[in-house]
Amino acid sequence: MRSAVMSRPAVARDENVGARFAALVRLHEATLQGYALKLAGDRADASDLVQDTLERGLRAYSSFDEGTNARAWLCAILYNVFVDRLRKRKSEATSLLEDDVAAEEPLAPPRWTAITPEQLRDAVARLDPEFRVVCELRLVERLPYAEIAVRLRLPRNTVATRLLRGRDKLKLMLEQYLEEAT
Amino acid sequence: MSACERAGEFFDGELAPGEAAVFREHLAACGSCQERVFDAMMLDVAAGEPRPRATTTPVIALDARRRLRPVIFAAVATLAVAATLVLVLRLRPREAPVALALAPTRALEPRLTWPDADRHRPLAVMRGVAAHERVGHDLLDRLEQRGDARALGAAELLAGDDAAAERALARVTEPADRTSDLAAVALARGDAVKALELADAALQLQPAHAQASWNAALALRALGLRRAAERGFAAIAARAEPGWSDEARARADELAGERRAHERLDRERADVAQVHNELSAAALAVAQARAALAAGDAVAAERLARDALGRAQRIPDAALESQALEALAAAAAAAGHPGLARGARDDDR
Repeated sequence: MRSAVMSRPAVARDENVGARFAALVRLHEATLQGYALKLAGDRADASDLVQDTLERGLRAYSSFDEGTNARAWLCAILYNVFVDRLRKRKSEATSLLEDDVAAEEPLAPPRWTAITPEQLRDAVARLDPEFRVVCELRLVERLPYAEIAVRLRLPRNTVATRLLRGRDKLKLMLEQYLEEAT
Repeated sequence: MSACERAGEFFDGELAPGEAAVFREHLAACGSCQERVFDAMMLDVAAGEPRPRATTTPVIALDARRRLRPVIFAAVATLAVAATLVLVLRLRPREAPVALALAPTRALEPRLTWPDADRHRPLAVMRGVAAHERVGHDLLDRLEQRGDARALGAAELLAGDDAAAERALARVTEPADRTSDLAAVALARGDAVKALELADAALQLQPAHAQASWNAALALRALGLRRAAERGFAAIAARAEPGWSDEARARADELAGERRAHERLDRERADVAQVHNELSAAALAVAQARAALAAGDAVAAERLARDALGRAQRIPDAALESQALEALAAAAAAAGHPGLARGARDDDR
């Protein structure tokens, strides 16, 4: 009798976790769908990816720190699921045992995902001009490479290279800010 | 490009389907690419929801909307038949003055440091016509002979020969003026990046350089960096330069209007997100109330149901309000509050 009473709040807590997680998913589902399609490149694969993400997310939800960026947390799970599936597919195709493909630690959202979009724009504005404009047009305005190339009168490949380097620089800069702030 | 160099293009959806498939193969085994794509994604997450696409309406067209009689102005500027403004230019003190006839409107957006070309004239609307003015060959020849690089370069640019203008302006001895004028050439060619670099360099040499400030603001505008362009034009507007300050004010206002429209959109989107959050919170409170009741905690269930009711009414959302009332009626009955239970049931009808 006593144990039955004790188990009741646990059930209620579990339901709460489910409801909270469901609310979180409702807020970010469209974002997850968008990234899934981008990564998988195929609608069927993308929706499998989102399903697996929700499953893994619900299981890991108890360890999620509610004060942090939930969107980044969910997106990181999505990405890890995506990479796991890629690696699994590769190991099957090359008939390697899964163990032969070195297991990687899942990637966690970097601390700088706590910055606001405004702070990110400020950071972009502090890049060298060579990278600043390209990053502004892609990361903030989200223009396609071809349009950036036309606007800046640069070859498309130069846009691609500058973006690659610009993103690396931006990441270092954000890490450095955090180090200075703490 | 090696496979690792394509990480950004892959994330940005810039690879053809076949190339993307090849990159996925590579990604499965490449730890550094896995990290790079992940970082690109996290940067994208940090950048927030995409902002509305920048309108690519050229500045010249924005001006056209404001002008009352663009066709007449265009006719005047292109044919240069009607009233022309005669500027008397004295190239060197003892030589005969050279008369330069300029139309009452200007064809070029950028500013040049040659004082007589820099007198403010409103920008003309030149649809389907190359942006240049009528400058006689004899005048260009005479400027050439006199060896005034600044005047010759400006006249060549006005006449539409940007290569000749660049050759002449490169010989201007004053470095800030030379760099600013070369920025004007870059703008006339549509190379806004180079223009910005040159105008910035001129401003490094001379921070309040009038023409360089103008050219920098134009370049920023052309690059879609509207906030910075707005600040640049606002600063010029504050300087009280005849004509130029008024035009700068109009341009800053135009940019501010675009910015406010975008901010309004951002706010509206934030409001929608807020309602979305409230809906989730109310739905969650209803679910928690039901769970608490199921767990036998009627007091907590009643408190949660009242919380849910308050939230549902604030949104407001009739369906959620009804669910909250239902939960409240059940919880109040279980908690021994028959009056409240009856009230909730009555209200739910």
